[in-house]
Amino acid sequence: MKGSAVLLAWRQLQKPAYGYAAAIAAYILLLAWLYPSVATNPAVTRLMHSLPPALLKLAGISSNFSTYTGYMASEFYSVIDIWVLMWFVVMQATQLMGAPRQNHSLQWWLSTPTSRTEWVLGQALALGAALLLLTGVATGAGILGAWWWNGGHLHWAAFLWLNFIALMVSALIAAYSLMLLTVVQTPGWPLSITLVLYGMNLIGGLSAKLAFLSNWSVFGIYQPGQIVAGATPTAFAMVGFVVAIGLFVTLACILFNRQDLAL
Amino acid sequence: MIEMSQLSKTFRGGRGIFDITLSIEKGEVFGYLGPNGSGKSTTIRCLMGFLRPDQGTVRISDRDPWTQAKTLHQIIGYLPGDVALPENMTGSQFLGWMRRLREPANPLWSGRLLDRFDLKPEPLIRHMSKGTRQKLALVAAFAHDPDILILDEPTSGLDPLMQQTFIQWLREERDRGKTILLSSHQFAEVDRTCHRVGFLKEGRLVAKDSIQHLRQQVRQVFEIRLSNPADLRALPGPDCEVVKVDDWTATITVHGSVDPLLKRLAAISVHSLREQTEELENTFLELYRHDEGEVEA
Repeated sequence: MKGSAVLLAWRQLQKPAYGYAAAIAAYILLLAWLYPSVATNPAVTRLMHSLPPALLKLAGISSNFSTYTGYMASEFYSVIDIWVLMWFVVMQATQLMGAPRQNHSLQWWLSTPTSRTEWVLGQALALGAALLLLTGVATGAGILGAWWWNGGHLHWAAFLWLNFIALMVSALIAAYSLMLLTVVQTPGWPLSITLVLYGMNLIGGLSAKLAFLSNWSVFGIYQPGQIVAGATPTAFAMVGFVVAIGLFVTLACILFNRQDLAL
Repeated sequence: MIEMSQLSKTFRGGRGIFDITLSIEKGEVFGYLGPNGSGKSTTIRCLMGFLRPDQGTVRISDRDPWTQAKTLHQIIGYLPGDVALPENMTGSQFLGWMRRLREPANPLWSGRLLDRFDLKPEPLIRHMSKGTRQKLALVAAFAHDPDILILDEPTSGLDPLMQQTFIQWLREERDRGKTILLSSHQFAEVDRTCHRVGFLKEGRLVAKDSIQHLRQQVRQVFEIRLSNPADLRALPGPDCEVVKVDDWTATITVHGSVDPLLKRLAAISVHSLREQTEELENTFLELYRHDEGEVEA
């Protein structure tokens, strides 16, 4: 591992990472500030009950506003958080792996005593650090919101699980995106595959007969409503995620090492 | 120091390099010449370990650039032909990152090069002129004082004064025992720095020659403007070809020594005398037009 390769990748990432983190923090704090008025407003509950359940499911909204954690899971984690992380990961992976090859600046970095494996690992670690920052900021902002405006009422275990699983899912997306981007330099493939997997999970949630689609999707494990209700993933599933992340990063290194680089 | 044996790399469409065998000794400066698309950059990318050869072998300091690129890059300074620098950095930041990736490298050498090439690296690279970018690229490529220099058209974009500075610097590096592979289009650059030259055409190394031999063979072209048109008759001789441009001007191509021509010119009234620089590739093509297959050691 080469620390300077990680730092160079982080230099590329830090500006968007700080921007995304600030936006996430602001949005969570806004939601937390609104929560007391939403929770005690009977009109909101009536409105929720009047909407078709399938529509609520598609939008990732639950009517569980009785707790701050349930409200956050419904209003932020079920759709917005995963979309933000997904978009961030694919776009930044493209900037890290694809852009230097396309604009040929990679020829400079690889003309130094830096192996291709060190280069890929540097990008992967920097992307992992950025994801850690984003989920860390989301966690921190959620806790602050609970403390400032909601009397410190927070279902700690569920809230931490929500953020941890969001981190694992986005890390897996980052890993296969990096692997794909060693072969193609544009975000088309990783983005398309991620959207297909997201769609599979969405459709799988509409009917028990289609539930197998969710099980085949990376997003199947990320069910904020169920996590808040106590249905956390098994240790086996988490180990599977870690192994898959390692496997994709290893494959990225192998593929990149075998590539002809017309720089 | 640098060995290529029957090196081939083919791309789709049949382009690439074919069966290149070349040996460059330690301390030697080798000029690598050829028209655009002839395969110079492909050869250099194989040397840098960016491309894997289809056939043949490449060895630098007894190491394979494809499998041992990391070790080799400690002793190689590489200046790409397409100087694509990271636009969103300042020159100083770029040099700083190159230094960190090369640690432990001597930062003092980088400072000396900055002074030598009169480069102020503080502005953003995207705001730099082409010449300044080229100077930055030169400093970045050689800031770690490497033993082997691989240069792909190094003076492209430099103004004439800076070209002279670069050539002088290259001569000093040569005298310090550096091994240099230089791809160039400029005769002055190759003439003043290289020990040997090789000419690449359509992916094949069609000729190799020593610079001394080439210098003897090379033709010199002068444009002469006379004060009296009648003196044009005095110009032709056994050692040169004269082409009349107009009543006062002629282009004279001299093979070998210019002394006989100068003696004839001394006897007449000359308004102006200007040397025309020839592309080195043209010189090579002219020399080897009739026997391209011949390769001289």
